[in-house]
Amino acid sequence: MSSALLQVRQLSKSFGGVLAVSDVSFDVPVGRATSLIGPNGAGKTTIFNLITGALQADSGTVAMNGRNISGLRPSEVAKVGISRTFQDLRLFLHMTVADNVLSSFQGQDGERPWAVLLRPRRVFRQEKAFRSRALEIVKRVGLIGRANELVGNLSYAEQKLVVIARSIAMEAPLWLLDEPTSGLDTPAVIQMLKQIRSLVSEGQTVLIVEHNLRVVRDISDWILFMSDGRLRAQGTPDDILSSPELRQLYLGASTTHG
Amino acid sequence: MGFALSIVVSIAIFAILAVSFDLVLGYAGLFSVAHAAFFAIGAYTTALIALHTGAPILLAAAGAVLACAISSALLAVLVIRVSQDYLVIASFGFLTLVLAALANLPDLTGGTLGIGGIPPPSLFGWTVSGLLSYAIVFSLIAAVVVAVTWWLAHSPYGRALRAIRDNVVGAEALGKNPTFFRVTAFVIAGALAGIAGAMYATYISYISPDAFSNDVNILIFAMVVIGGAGTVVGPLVGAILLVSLPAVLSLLPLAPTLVGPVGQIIYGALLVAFAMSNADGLLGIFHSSDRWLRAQFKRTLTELERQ
Repeated sequence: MSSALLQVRQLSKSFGGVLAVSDVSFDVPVGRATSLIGPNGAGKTTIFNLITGALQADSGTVAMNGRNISGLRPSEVAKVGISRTFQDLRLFLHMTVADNVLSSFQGQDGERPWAVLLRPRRVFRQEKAFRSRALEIVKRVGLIGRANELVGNLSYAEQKLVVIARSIAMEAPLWLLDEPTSGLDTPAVIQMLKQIRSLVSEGQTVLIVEHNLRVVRDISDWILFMSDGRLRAQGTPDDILSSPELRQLYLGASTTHG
Repeated sequence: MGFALSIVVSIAIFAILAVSFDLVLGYAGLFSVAHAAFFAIGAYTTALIALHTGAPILLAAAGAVLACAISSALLAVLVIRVSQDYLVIASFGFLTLVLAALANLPDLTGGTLGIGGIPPPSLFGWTVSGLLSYAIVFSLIAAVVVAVTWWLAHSPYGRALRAIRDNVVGAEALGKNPTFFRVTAFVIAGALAGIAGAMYATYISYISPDAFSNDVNILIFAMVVIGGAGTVVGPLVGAILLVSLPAVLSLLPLAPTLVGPVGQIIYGALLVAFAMSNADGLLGIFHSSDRWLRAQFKRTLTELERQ
């Protein structure tokens, strides 16, 4: 197994006495697609929130590239090189597709107002370069015809592709994808899978929360299985998805919880 | 001719106020309603520095801009964490506090009597005198301020402001620190309002709390909303329109006592119409990207009327 990009150690979080995440430890190996699966309420999104600083853990640590990132704010975690997507997308609906992607580039001098005023030429040149890169990315996810459309006017499937485009533009070593295929019809799922697969084949490290087990089997190199806030098992897709015990836990729990 | 020139001077001052306020209201999407406070702080600081220290007027104006930037940062730090509804109230409280201080600190501000004898602007030994000179100099200053604001608003900085306005959590996940962007927007807008305050004080040479009432505050707000928030050019159009409105009315066969009230009714009606209709301000009718703001305007208006 290759070296770990992200190391999660003994992470715990409770909400009003209910343990949402309990003593969870795992590694996310570099250059691989790791899936985090489990029934509803297993604590998967809470894990994402703990990694990105949206929630503070009660105990435990998260390390990126060996650096402890516990306690950092979400914007700082993003700068460390972790791109996170949301189930409710959290796009900038009143901005164009191109502007959504442009917002994602790191190291923009023009985001400092004094640089805008004191080094206008440099900011202008940089912006021009970012703009052409943004259009390449928009093209890559198949939305070039919609580049100047407001994101709020796009279909849900198109909006989910903007999310991917935004993550590409961040150039983060690690992606946390929260249900990238939920709510999509089959052709859109296939398109989304194509995007993710091509990124992983280029060496992008991803950690995916996903409910669609066919998608999980298709893209995962490694699977982490959670239920009731605990990490129950981890292994290759064949190991995990063929285990009758885990299947029972997954399906049994998901029928109970809807 | 003199009348027209005095309108130009007013437009220059209000254009700066409206365009700078657009950074906070339109771009950052923060419903602060305290912009007239920085106009007042700018005017008073200019007057006090010039009169008490005898410093050149440009230096006094620089001090005013600094005072506005600092007080604006203070307001920002205090109110930025509260939700939009409370932001309206908290910032309005700030304005009330500033206006009350001006009227009730006679030793410092002259109280309700105000401060007179403020020297005119001068530059390298040349002193601005005569309406024509004021109109030219102030128009040039306003043009520079509008251009700078436009450049900021259309830079990656302005884009980050809009991103945070649209979705804070989404913007944070891309590495934007909302506090940084919001506080800087407040500081820049406050500093620019300070320039307008310095211009006003040196032009009119006598200032009193009456000049910075909540009416002025709502007028600035109306210029941004009617012109089109989040566009920079819209608030400029709004400033030109609302400053010239009373002048145009005075040319109509109306009793002089009616000109003021009729003007108020017209801009009040425009404000309500734009806040409640589907139009994003005058500019928004032609090209629009900020439908989000409409719902917010309606709420803010109700809040303001309640004060």
